[in-house]
Amino acid sequence: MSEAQVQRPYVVLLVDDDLRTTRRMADMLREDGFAVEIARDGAAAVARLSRSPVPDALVTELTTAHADGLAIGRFARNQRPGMPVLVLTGYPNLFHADAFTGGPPAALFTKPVEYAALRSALRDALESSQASERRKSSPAKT
Amino acid sequence: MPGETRFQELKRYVRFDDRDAQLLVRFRERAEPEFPRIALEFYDRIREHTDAHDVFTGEEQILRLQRSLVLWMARVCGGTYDEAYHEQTSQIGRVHVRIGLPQRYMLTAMALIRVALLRIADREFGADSPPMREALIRILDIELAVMLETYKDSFVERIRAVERQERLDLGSALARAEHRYVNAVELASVIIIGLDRSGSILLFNREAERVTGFARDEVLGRPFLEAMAPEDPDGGRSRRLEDALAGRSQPEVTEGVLRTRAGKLRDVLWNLGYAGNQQEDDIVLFAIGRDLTETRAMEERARQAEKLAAIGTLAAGLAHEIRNPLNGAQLHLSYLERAIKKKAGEQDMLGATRVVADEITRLAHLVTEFLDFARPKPLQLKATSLFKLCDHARSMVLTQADGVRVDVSCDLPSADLEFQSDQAKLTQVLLNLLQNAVEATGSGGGGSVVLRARRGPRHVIIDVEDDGPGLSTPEAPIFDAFFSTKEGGTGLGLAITHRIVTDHGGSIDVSSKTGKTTFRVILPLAEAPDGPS
Repeated sequence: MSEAQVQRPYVVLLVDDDLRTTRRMADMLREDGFAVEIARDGAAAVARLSRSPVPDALVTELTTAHADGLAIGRFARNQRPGMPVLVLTGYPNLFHADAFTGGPPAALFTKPVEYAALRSALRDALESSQASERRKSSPAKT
Repeated sequence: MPGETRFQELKRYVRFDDRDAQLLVRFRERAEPEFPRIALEFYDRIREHTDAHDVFTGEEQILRLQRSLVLWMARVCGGTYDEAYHEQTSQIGRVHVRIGLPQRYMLTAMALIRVALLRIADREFGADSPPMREALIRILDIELAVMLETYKDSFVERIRAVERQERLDLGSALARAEHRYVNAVELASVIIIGLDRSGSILLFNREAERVTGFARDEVLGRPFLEAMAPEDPDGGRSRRLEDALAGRSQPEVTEGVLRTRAGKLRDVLWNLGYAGNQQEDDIVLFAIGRDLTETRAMEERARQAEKLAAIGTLAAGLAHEIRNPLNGAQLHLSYLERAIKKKAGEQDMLGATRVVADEITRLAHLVTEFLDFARPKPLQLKATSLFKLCDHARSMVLTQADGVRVDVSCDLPSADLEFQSDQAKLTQVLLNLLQNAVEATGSGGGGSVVLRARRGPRHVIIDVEDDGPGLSTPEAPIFDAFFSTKEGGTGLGLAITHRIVTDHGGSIDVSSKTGKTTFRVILPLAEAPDGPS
């Protein structure tokens, strides 16, 4: 966790209507060095994604009010192409990994989610996304 | 007169006698040089008439016929009028018939010749002409009569032929009609049974044979009720049949049950047709039936599928409702675990969190399995190699098997084969069966499990056989959901296995005794698609 604290912490947006559990998860992620924000439904998530600074990653439930996880994910990728998207759901059948374009396929976690697995998947996705952004901005690109 | 031939009778009728014959011989001496001229004129006249001329095939034939006519005139005046003469005349007549000369031309042509010959008689014999004329008239009319007779014979023969042909046509029309009806009855995909007034079977079509399993000659003549009706304790069946046989029931549609040769019952929808005006020993009741058993079974399956779909929808909703609280519990447990670790680890508390975590994992697993069972994903059919499928399933169970000293081997056919299946799901089936077999065998202290595959003409047969202790209750409904005898199982493994196999159009069965338990999966080999695959 030390390496993540060296630079600006990654901003992660959590979207779920189960606020009690989501807050607890946010606490644990913060302890592990992430900056975390919470939206309880699709509308709030889209509102947050519209503001700067745009979050670095999205962790969302699939069945959310006003706009579902797929819509939030697509909006997020629109705001920041290549943004890591992690989908947590009790309805894995509703999800297709290629639902979002403009970046690597979203990772799917069927609830109940094991926290450790989620945290490492999130970290890996953020790091590889940062690496590819650095490659894009570098003039030595071939 | 007794013993008289037809020719003699003709001669007697016109009073032609030897004196006439002598006169004709005298006539011929004078007239013969003129015969070619008469023949020429005769045929020239014919040329003027289309229908008469049509019988000629060409000039050569006309020349030949002219020569024949000259010979004929000489013969008519030849002086000998016996049976051979008569036969020659008949032959000439038959030639006319054969070439299709209309009768009217034969009569009128004879008039031409008659006039020509009478003129010669008058000219050559003067006052002696009248008896000569009479002789000529008599013989020429005899000629005509004989030739007309051949026309009559031919006409009768033709009438007979036509009648014969008509009879043949009628016969074959009847035969064709009967053939059609027989085909209609035999090829109809409905049961057709005909009963006489006593209720005995007189007609039993192919579909009736197929549905009941009885061959026709086994049931013809037997009472219908005795042969293939189920038991009739209150006599209602036989009363209803009596009414129908007596024409007392309206033309009606009624449901009934047939007992097959094997003793099974088939639901049949009957349409009864009463043909009461038939003779005593003929069919009075036609029972036309449709076998509803398959339809019923299909309806039942459709109802089952609907029920399952409803359960599936329910299950999916329920799953979400269960998974969310599980998620909350799990996450808080992770939080607790972390908190406990921070306080330098109270081992008891950590152990407790692990138990709760395990239970949550198990509940989550149950939810997933239940969803698989109640709301399976549609099959993703792909060409599947039998060898790869078996080897893969075996490799996945090897570690577990080694741990309990169970040997797992494959027994495969000499050549691989490909068939359409959802490979992931079939792997799940085989893995499930292999794991069960390994656990059962391992619990008895080790043994062996064989994964055997064989091909049938239209099926693949896969057996998972172990030499373990066998099922404790082989008759138990082990493929039903939540029927589990296994410690820690969800009770859904074999139910899912069964569902996957039946979704593939296959079947699964088990036979078990101590030392040998075999699960047999039979999967259909789909018809090869068109063209090389």
